[in-house]
Amino acid sequence: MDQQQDLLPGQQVAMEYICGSCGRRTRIRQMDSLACTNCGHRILYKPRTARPVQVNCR
Amino acid sequence: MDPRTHVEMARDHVLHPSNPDAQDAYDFQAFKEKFKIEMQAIDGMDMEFDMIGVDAAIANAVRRILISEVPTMAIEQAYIYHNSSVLPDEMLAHRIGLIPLAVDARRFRTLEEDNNEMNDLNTLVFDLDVECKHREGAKAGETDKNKKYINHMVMSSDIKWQPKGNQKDRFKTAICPVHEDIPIVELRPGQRVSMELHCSKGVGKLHAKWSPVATASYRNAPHIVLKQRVTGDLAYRLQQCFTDGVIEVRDGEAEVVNSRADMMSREHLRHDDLAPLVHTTRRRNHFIFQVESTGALEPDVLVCEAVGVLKDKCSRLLDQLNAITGTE
Repeated sequence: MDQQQDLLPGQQVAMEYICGSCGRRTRIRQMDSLACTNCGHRILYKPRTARPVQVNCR
Repeated sequence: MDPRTHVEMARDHVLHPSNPDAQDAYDFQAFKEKFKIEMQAIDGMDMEFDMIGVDAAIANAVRRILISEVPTMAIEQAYIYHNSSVLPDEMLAHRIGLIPLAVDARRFRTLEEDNNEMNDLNTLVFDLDVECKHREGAKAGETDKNKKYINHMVMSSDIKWQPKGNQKDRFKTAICPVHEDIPIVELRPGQRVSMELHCSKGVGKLHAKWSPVATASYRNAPHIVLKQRVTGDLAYRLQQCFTDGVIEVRDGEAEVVNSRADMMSREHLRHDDLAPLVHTTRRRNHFIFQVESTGALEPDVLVCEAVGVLKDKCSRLLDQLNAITGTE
């Protein structure tokens, strides 16, 4: 979501999701239908954040 | 048996567990004369020694300090870049934190001493980056994971030290986990674990991962005396009541050869004919210590460190007492 804050009004950014069926990464923009561009499966997962996650080793 | 020096092990209770005639006033000269340390065995990371002529309070203080107050280094923070393994981040980090590291913590400072600012004197950095893949050319239907996959198991040997600052000069040999064959998590093709690990100095009372010992325990030395001659069948039955090697039958007569080895099961007290033949006691001021190091420091060094910590505590207490009473 951070990416969108820097955008001008009207601009869109494609978000990347992982298909629940074929596992492929698919890019979807705001008005696109919510389906995998590869296989058409309608369940998509958010990928893990690109940032490191800090965890306490206890 | 003298109740001042021996604790009697009765059938279902311990008789006179505390000294009825205790001389509590501390006398350094008397302590010095009575106190003795006898090394029994030291084998790698295991050690057994006898501490003789001290009160249980001091022996117990040494034991407790060994477990919870001798500092070591352990992985404390994980910065996880990728984790597509079956374990959640927290559980993976917890497992990694428990891995003992072969580092002498005396060469480091605690984060608190540096106002929680990390530097090369208080922090060690490790990298862990493992990705599982299919092994090229593996037979179809192969069941051996080593032949089928590359990196199907993340092991403690995958943790790689990244020297920071002048650590490379301070430590001639690479710092690594004590054991290189600890499994951390299983991976399958496409899964990846990648993280940076920060290791800091701490003590066991904060978290068990900093405890330098796997076990540190003591027992009072067993003392077994035959009250009368035991011969014939009775001798063999008596032998069976004790740990192997405690009683030997020589020329048909039972003889106590190694009461130290006894685990004090007190089995003989369950037999009416055997019970009156033996007197089982423990020496009040004789402690058999067993120390097993996790591998960072040798067990004998750990005991010396523990005594050092105890000394520091005592001198701090003295300072405080002097501050109250206003004496030097």
